[in-house]
Amino acid sequence: MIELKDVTKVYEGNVTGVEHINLQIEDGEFVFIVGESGSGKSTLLKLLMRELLPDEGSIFIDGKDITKLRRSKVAELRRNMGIVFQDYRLLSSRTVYENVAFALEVIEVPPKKIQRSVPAALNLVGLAHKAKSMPNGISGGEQQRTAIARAIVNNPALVLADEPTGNLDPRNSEEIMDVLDAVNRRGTTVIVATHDRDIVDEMQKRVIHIEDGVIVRDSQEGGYDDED
Amino acid sequence: MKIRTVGRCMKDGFKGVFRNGLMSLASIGTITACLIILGIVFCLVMNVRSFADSMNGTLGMVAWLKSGITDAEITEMEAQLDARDDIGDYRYVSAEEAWEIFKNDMLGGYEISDMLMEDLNNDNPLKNSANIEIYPKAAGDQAGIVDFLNNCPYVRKVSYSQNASRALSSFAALVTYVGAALIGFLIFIALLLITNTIKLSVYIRKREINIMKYIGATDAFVRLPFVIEGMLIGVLGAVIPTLLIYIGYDSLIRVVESRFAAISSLFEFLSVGEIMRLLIPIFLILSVGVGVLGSSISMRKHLKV
Repeated sequence: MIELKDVTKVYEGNVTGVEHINLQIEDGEFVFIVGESGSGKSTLLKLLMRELLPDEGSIFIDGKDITKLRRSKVAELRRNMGIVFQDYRLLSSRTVYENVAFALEVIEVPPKKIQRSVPAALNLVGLAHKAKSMPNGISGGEQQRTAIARAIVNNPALVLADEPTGNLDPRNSEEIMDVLDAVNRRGTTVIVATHDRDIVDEMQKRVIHIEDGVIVRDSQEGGYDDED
Repeated sequence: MKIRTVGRCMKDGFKGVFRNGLMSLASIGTITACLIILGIVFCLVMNVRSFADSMNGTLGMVAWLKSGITDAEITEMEAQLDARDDIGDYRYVSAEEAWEIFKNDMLGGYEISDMLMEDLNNDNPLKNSANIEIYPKAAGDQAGIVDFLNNCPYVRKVSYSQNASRALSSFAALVTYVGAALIGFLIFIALLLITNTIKLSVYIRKREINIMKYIGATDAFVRLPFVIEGMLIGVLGAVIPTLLIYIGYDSLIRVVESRFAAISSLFEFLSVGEIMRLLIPIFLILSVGVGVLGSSISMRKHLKV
């Protein structure tokens, strides 16, 4: 379970990131965090992945306050979460397979296990046939699916996706959401920060709406603009 | 960290050196230049220090004994000298012995009538010249021994070369300090360059590092290839200076010994083996240290993700 207690993050120059956020996300949930650009969605995700530390409040993941984690323990925390970015962040000099395998290599997984896990992850995102392709030889949607395969290959309990469809057309966006939905159905908690109304309306999942760093709505199920 | 991972990091480190070929070459060149100068300064410092140490033996002093001193008093004084641990060696020279030495050294070339010589032998002109030649263990011990001798009741006068001792000590210190400052400055320059090279390497792999950090790679895992790259640049930079100093110093000693016999009779150079025994570990520690430090400095910012 993820729990944020009265979390506030203020950037330099007194710019508010998020303010007094109180939030609980249960294991296995699919949650959209929506809001306009600069509303605090990405700040919230960065706080969860421990890229940022809050100025006030605590963030608990599975009962552990990650704001009190030593820097050396952050790697351990991230091994149990998959992160997906808007710009995919693939290594252009490596194949699709190698990009996914890289996630396991850096956490020193034995080669035999890598050989088993990578095809399984590529199958889940529907990219087994593109394993040998280079990232610049596949579409944006396929690149993002590769990034999702990389994020889930280690079977993390939590996937954080920051604007995963931001660079994609509606058809590819839908495919990506289908993949994330499939990941969620396996029991993984998925948190997606987005300002894409269509996908939120289509999925009908829990929606947390942030404006100016403050949660203005938390619906257990609904579309982008639905009222409780 | 697993051995397989270390192997992978080493491979990446090697790749890094070649990936930034020109920058690596510039860094290796700078380290080479720095270490050559360091090596030359080191050879100079070590030889001056060795010379200073060897000169301590010749920084003797003479305690002129009072006339009429008895054998018992001389024995007592020798016992007092034996008890001191700052005295390397001493030698009692009787008045008769002093006259014999003087005759051999100074009058050997002159024709002196037998009668005059007999008179001189019977009435020793150096009868007040009984003395003890004393050699301190180190140049710095001289002052204490002189003080002791001046307070000794059997000593009439003490002769010693205060300036030579001081000059030699301060020259050795000066060379050491100037050498250390120069070496410090050169190390700083090398560190600056190697840091820039690794920064370039880090910049090229910025994306990869960023991904690694998000995936859950430890700082050590991310840092190791760059540390290895820095170490390699350092070690490669140390190879040429080691060879050059070895060959150069060895040749210099040979030339001086064969062509400038006067210098080599005054001064014994340290052997190339003695120099290299100290210099190679210094080179290795410095070059590897500069490489590791440089890469650590370059990485700092990028690990904070």
